[in-house]
Amino acid sequence: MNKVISFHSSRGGTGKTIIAVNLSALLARKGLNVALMDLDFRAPSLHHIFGEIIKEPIKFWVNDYLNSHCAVDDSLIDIHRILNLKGNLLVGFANPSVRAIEDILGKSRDWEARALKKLFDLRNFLFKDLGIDLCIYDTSPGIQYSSLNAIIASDLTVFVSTSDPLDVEGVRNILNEFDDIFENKTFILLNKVFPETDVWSYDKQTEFTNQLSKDCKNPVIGMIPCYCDILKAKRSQLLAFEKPSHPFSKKLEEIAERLFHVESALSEPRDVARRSL
Amino acid sequence: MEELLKALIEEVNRIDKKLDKIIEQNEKILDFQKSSLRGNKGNLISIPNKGLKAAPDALTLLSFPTSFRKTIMALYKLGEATAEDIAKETSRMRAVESAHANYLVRLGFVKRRRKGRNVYFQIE
Repeated sequence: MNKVISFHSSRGGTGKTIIAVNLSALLARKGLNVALMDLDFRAPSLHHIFGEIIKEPIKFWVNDYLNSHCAVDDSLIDIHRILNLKGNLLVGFANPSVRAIEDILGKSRDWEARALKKLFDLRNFLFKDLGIDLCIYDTSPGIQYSSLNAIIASDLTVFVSTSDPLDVEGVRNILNEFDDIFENKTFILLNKVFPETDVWSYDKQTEFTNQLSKDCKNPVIGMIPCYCDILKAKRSQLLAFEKPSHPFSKKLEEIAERLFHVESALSEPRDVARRSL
Repeated sequence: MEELLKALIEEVNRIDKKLDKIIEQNEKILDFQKSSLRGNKGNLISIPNKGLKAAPDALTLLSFPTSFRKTIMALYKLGEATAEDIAKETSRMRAVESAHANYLVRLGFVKRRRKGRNVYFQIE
């Protein structure tokens, strides 16, 4: 497979981190070797989710790798044994300290160019040396260097948006403005869609997603309802992994299957790939 | 008659100075054009100083025409590669990739190295 998928959004709070984390864990449990990288340097969150599980201090962060302070593998922690997963799950954490965030904010254009190169080096190392099948990037929302770098270094970008008109408008703006970068590899995933809205009937859903695809010039890959228990759960981040029969987990599995289907179809001409959705 | 000739010479000198200024201005414009390239949406792509090998940052990459961006993206994925390797990655003709890669070398974004009969391109 050897593909990089980045989860991106126009604004924060769309649930892309929860989706990225749970998707990684679900796929690793099925036997895929997965790498999950926190590239949201402005608001890192993966250490909050996995911090309790790994129970040891993180020696090197993804920031250290990008700053050339450590080798690639030093910044990755394999947690497949802890979670009892069939495949490997390597996680790269972004440094949450204020100093590290300040450091990233003050980076020059040259540094960002080197960071882009390092992301491609990381990709080659993961696939060729560590036998990783799939790499998932959790990016910073909006348009900024770190997220652009992540998207450029990805094979597929999934734009996670809620059904909030502001979110949808943000996605539409970015996809229309930066259509060059997203060409041929971008999908929209609607998350936290209110169950009581009328878009869930088959006809309405088709109409709604078709219109959204047309507005954003990219196909909608799925819609996930807003589950109150996920929002309320203390450890909601790993809920889909811990409760595989939960509808959220089922939805994620559906989306993963669609992504792989699309991924294989992407080697075909563009319109064929899109028809496969 | 002599005065007329003097006046004529002065006028010629004045025109000569004017022409010198116009030539100087044109050379400046040409230098500027050489150091920049119109990108995909008509925006200017800034080019590193002569001799400097610099990897393009995300925004510079976005300002490239799609055809050049494909070559750079392939080079990022492949590391060091020949025009043929790049062509396999992009599914385009070797000659196209060779031309693009060589142009990127001239712009200073890509480094070229000859190894035996092969020429390798790499982003540093």
